[in-house]
Amino acid sequence: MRRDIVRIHQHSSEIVLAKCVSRNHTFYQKSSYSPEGIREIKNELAGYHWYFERAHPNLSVSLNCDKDGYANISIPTFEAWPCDHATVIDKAFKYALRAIDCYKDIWVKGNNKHNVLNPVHGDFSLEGNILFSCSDVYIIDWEHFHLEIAPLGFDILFMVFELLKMEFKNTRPTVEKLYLAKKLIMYAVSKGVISSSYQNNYFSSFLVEQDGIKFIWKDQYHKLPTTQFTALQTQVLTDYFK
Amino acid sequence: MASPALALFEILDKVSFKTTLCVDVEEDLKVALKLRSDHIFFVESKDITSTLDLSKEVFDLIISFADSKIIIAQLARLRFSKDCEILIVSSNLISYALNSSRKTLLERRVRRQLIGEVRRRYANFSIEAYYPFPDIQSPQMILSTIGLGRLYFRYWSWLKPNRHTISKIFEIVIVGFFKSPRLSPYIILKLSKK
Repeated sequence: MRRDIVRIHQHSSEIVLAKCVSRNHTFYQKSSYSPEGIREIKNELAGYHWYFERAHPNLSVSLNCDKDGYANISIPTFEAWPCDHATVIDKAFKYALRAIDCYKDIWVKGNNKHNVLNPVHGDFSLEGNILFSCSDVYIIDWEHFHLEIAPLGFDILFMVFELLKMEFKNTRPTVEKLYLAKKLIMYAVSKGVISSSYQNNYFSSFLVEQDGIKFIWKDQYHKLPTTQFTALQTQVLTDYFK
Repeated sequence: MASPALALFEILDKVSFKTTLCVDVEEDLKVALKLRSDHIFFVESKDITSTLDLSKEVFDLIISFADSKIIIAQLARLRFSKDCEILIVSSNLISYALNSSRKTLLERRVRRQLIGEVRRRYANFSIEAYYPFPDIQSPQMILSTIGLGRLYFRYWSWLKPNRHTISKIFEIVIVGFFKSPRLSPYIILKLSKK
């Protein structure tokens, strides 16, 4: 079996990602020797179990080793690819709509508790963690997954505001792009996947919620694009999403 | 914090091992190997024959950071389990990153000679070559020859030019552009029982 180690402790994580290719199939393995990395691997395992149960009951993720000091899991691959234009909101718009539909199918399935706490993926990002095929959408990288931790729709708002931050970088937000972001949020609201607890101000309530659960990202929290809005951007977005 | 050098062990197929032999393995790797092995022997290449009688042991994992002709021959005489895996880490004599290896020039091997020797001595093993980038102490990727063509990608920072800048440029050209591992500083030979 060929095993290419494609990621080693990237983005402050302490996880190693290996792509394993044998004659019959391809899969990924994630492993870690540090308590922090092992904790994330266990989150990932719980996240995938939760996700597969709802969306892909024929798929599974397996725990190969869970010792004190080492953990290793195997994850299947998907015939799907990330959005090509994850940093340009008008080009990523259609992908974002599909991601919202996918979120609805998974999060709302058998769940009528819109105003209570819901599971959070924690990195629901068009830049690599939401994969698209012709007919399906797949979600990967569940390292920050937590059950019942934020009102419904947190991940959608994360995706939309991350998209805005990627688009604007440190420049002043433009109304055209903000309008597209609002359209995405309104689409999600129409699908019933945004809790009413955000509706006072979608942007500032999202930031408050994100800050309240920052422990799920540990040291990586301050590296999230959605924690790096400039003062001007924060002001413009708060005014716009009132 | 775990060392990124531990990623080396993720090219192994099995997760845990019964009896492991480690030759010239550095301290920060030992803990990880202990976790994954029931019985483990740590030896230095200079006294592999004199200090331990290994003739009764059947090994399912051998990891050697020593790659001399004598060591390759000594290890080939050991008893292997039917699912044994062996990793031999070698520093290339001619490389674009001369400073990355802790071995002196005289201790480094010509890669072609090493591979030929391993093929001869370990005829009942299949052999795969892997390459760590930028080096074995702090790798960002460890790729097979096929993986190198498809998956090689490195984050570069040019903000602080230093003595590694020249190596970076060579790596970009030779590995990134021509997809050749020929002058990379290290090779890892992974041997699996056929």
